[in-house]
Amino acid sequence: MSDILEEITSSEYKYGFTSNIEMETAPKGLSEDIIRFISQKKNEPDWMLEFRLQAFRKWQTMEEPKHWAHLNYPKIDFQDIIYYAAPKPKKKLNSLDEVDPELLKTFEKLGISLEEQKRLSGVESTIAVDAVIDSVSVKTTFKEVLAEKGIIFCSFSEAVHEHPELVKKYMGSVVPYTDNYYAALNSAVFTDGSFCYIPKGVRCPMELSTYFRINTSGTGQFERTLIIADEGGYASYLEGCTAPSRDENQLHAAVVEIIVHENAEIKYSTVQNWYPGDKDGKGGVYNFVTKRGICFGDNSKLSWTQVETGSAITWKYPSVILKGNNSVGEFYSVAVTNNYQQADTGTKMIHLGSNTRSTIVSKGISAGFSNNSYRGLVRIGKGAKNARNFSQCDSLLMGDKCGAHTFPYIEIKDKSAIVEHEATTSKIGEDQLFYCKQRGLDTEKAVALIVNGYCKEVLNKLPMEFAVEAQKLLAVSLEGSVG
Amino acid sequence: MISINNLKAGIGDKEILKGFNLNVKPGEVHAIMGPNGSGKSTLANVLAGKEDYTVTDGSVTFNGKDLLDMSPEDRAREGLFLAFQYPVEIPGVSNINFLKTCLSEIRAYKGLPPIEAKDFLKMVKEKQALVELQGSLANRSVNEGFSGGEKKRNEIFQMAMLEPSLAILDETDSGLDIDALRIVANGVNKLRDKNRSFVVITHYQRLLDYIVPDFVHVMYNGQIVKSGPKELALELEEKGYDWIKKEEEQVI
Amino acid sequence: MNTISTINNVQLISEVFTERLSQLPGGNNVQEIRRKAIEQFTKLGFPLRSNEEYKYSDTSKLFKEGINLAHADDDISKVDFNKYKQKNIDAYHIFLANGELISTESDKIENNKVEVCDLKTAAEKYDKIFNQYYGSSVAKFNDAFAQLNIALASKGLFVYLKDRAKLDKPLFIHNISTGTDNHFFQTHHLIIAETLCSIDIIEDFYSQTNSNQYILNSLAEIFVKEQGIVNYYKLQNENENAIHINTTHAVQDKQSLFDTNTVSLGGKWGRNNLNILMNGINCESHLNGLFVLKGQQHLDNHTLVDHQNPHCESNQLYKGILSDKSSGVFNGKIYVRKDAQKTNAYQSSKSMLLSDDASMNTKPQLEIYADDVKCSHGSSTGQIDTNALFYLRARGLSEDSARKLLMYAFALDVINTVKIEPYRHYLEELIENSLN
Repeated sequence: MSDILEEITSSEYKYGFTSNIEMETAPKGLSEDIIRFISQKKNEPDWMLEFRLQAFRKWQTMEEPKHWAHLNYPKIDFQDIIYYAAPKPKKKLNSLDEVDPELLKTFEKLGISLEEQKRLSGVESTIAVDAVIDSVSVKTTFKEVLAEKGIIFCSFSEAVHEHPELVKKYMGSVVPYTDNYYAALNSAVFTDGSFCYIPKGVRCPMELSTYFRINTSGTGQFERTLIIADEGGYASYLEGCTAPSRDENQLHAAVVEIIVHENAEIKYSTVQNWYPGDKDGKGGVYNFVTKRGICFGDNSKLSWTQVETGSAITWKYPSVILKGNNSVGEFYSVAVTNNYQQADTGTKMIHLGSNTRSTIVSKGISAGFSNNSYRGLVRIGKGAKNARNFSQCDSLLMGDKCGAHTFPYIEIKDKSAIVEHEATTSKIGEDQLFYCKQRGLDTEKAVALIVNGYCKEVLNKLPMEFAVEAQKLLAVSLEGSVG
Repeated sequence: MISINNLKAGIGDKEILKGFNLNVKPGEVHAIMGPNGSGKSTLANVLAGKEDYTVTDGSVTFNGKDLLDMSPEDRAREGLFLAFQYPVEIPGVSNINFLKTCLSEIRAYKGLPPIEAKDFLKMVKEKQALVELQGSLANRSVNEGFSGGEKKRNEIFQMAMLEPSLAILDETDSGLDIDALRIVANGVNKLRDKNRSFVVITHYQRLLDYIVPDFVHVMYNGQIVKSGPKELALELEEKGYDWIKKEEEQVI
Repeated sequence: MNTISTINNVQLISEVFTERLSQLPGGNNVQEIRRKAIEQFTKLGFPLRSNEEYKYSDTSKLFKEGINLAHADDDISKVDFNKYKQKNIDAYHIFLANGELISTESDKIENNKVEVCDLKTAAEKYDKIFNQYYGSSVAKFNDAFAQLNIALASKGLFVYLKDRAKLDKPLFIHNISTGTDNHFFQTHHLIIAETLCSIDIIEDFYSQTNSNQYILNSLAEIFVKEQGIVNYYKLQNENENAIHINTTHAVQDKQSLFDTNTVSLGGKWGRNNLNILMNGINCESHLNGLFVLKGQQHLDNHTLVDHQNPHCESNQLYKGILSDKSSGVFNGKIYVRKDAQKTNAYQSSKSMLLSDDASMNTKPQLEIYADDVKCSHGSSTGQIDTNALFYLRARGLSEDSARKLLMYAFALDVINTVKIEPYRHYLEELIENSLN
């Protein structure tokens, strides 16, 4: 812990550098031609192009959802965005030696190893990484090791070619392109992302991870992730993201779909650290993400854990549809906003099967001039017998120029449900701060300590490597927020 | 060790300490007694640097330095420890983690390297035994869900870990049963040495049966009105505070 | 189809407004407020589900059969007012039929510091006060029904307390609606308690028969000036065809106290907007509510406590018991503005579902812009505690009476906050009956 605290010296965004990688980009703007261009670049089969075009046509009829979220931002000019940017391939990549060394350096700088070596000792702490830069996946590690177990872990583009039957079966089954404005946009223009399939009865032996990096100026990032755990399968999946510091607002609109079959379990963890903009609110990523999973089979379990510290705007509600009987959904979230950041984030738990259970723990921290909202839905459908939900939403305010808001929606259509929701809003106690100071801690360290304690319940849910990263991030994000 | 001269302080316009004087030499134990509202806890908080109080006059020299000029954390780093009357709960932060962070900060201030993990754990074990604190408590969140007695023992445990030169015990005996009182007092006694001083603030005499002071001071209306040897505490116990109050009022 | 008829209704209302404007009580100032309000209403139209505030209560279907804005007051003479009077409650009983004050039936208040009259009289006799206050509290409330009420209301009660008046007995306002066939009408109370005045108000709503069908859009503006105390108890016990939209808007000046208790038992479709604006420091407010729904009843309780100033406290407790195919909504919002440091704001909502076809939607919200505050909300939905049920049965109670006892106990929490004893007993009786 003390090592972590020692690292809180610079309040600068650490990942703001740009890399000089030769990129190939599409012209600005969005049209059917651009979609054909993307599809052609990726050498896609017709069915994929057709899916994109349908989504695009739907998107054109939809309106930007601005009326309900507690967010305030100028209208986005969707014609002023580059929808495709990829590092120029020198030749077909067969081994790591052929990846542009500048690219390797980029990921090294981000602390992501694309070398297939065991990072610590033992298999447990090994992580397989899919590295995505702007529109394409540049490298997926440990593919062969995983393949031995029958696990498919590759880029989405590769899955379209290699496993079309799985992609066709599951893509859009949880988040149809008609779902919402940004899901439709993503379905039309998504460029890459990760694909993962855990076969029957297989426990994935290592953490799977995707690292997203926006690099090129003026581009949007639209990735799509699809994870399927077949009967009795298990995987823990991590997602991390960063972007260079730029004065412009870059758009990120991702879709994540997860299907969990009978007796299977997926743990999905995110540390979201897109560039949040500078201290005056200039620049930063607009993060509009649709994440949803379905506990399709009986006794299945899906758990979302997120630590949100980045982005100028966050609009994100990782959800679980509890269709299988006895299925379990979990959502653990820490969202930090500082300076002029705005976050509207939470979850949806849709109970359909019998004896389904869900837990929501949300910890919001607002500082500076930021606004931080929890928005969550718990719906107990008619006939969802003996459903249980417990939600705890806490907000911590630091300073009197920020806002902390809680907007839960609780819809109950079955009498056997027991649903409990609790929310509190408070500030860091003066007496807690004084107590820490009396024991020799300065304000910044005292705040970091108290905040980490406040978030403990959520941080504990993260895999070890991520938990350490997340604690550091929290401290850095709140730098200078208590005077 | 500490020299307090004509200290005046209060909250807002209300003056609570009205010219307080006290001199504590290394190794001495001073007891400050007094009725409710006499300003005992205010004294403890002002010395520790709580921002709610304003100092309007007087000076405090601590180990040759101007104490009032220092931030609360620097006072702690210089070796001043306050055992709180109401120890604060910090959810999610384990005792161990908390102490390790504090210790590192204090050592860094003194230009010392961080303590080695194994030395730290050895120290924790040793000091826990001092206050008969169970190992499991050290891993729980700071004071969260602790009983009143456990909280007070935890304060003494922290004191043992941070090894201050001056410890102020603010009504550490309040709310303790006789067993807990004995444990707390034993802990304190084991930490007494020729370089470490204590200021024991208490309302009742009974703590002083266990922690025998070198001097007893009676505080009333923001000042020390009577000082004497340890026997003064017994006299107070017998006669009650009304005796002091009456004496004071006659003077006025 | 619905949309078209709704638009027609809005048009119709707007035409009727133009026709009636010159007859409506109030001076130029009020006329202007009315004009702005109708403009606002026309812009908003009747709220649909897409309106976040009406997410669970679509109003378009309420008006699809058209509306009837004409007065249907000829049957007032047939009303047996005595029937509605709870004689054991010592109070000034005031009767209103369709908003019209029935002076002949109402008690006289012999207190020259307290005025109780209809809006028309008030607009003449107290023109300055009337023009200053009418519509002022809700002018910025972006709700179609409230705006429509401000625009069109001509009937209702004016209650004015001055010179540190303390009314010796509760003011008991009985509203009886006689309308039929979609009679759509507005009533508007204007209640002002000047500095250091205090009053207890009880208000109940009944339908004339057990089947006459109407749409009532009632509104009460309550101003509690410095150190004033207003206790306001409301009971809605109309027939199963009645549609009732109520807006209560209280504005509190410094060191004032406003307590309110809303009990909803009757009606087919109901909506209660309760807004409290804390306009000065050190205000305190308690908002309590109870609803017992059955059959096809729908009730939507919306509360908004707007903490604009420091050191204020608000406390909310809402409970609901739903059976059959009824549906309930609780939407409670606590708003703490930037300057409202040291705010304590609490909210608790609990509901009990007794049938598979009943449903409950809850949306407790906190919107907070000040940091030194203590705010919380808790919400729970469930069924009767089976352990408690078993315990009572093990002590010899039949399942049915054990159930009733537990439900009654659940509801009693809210009723216990009523400070006027005989009225509390009256409510207890009503609730016991409605649980049978």
